[in-house]
Amino acid sequence: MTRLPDLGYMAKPTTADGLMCNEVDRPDAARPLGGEYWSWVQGSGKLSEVSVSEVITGWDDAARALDELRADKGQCVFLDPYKELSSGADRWVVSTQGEIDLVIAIQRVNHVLVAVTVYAPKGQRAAAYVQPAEKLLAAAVKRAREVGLAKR
Amino acid sequence: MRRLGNLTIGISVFGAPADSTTLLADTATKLLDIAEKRARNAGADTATYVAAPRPQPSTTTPTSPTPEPALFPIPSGAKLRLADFPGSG
Repeated sequence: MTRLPDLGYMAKPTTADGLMCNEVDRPDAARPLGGEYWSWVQGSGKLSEVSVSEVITGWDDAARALDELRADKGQCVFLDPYKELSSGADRWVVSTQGEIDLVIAIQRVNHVLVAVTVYAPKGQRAAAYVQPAEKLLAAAVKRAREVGLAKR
Repeated sequence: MRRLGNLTIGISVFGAPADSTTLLADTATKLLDIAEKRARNAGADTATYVAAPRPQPSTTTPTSPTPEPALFPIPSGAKLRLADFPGSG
């Protein structure tokens, strides 16, 4: 995988890559305090290859933000029909089916949301990328804990 | 957002309060299709890109708007590393 250039700190980050954010339609939805976004591509980054994005966001109330996302009523909503693959108190994994299938795996760690999005290569279904997404989420949460993000 | 070779194209559509999410999504998708076509026509998908150097801290008065303070700064070590990717060894 090749990491794409950092976009840096964002005052209004998306909750997870692959969603559509619109604060006008949902003015009462929870808003992140800030966050950062990174992405990686396989090979040359063509649509026929897999790509991965990670978003870490900080919230006043991350539990509420995750609940709103589950209800598709958060600051960011799904563009395509989505299917819940697994759900826990603080963890949620879904796949969407559209022009490009993707898997979004997200976990709350105190007031932080860690989200990993895996884009399936164009023409391939998301199912094959669920396990990689879950592994990457576990690694991402571990990294977030290591730097003390989850303690603040 | 759509990947196109070395290029990533992002379209944001800001609607009015009465606009539906579906309408905005359809609009953004159509604009993205147009942007992709124009990028391909211009050869932007096969061009080689070099990251611009990050601006260095300056002691002079900034002429651009002051960036918003980071309310929730993220330590650089928080992001995934290549070793975290399945199959990376």
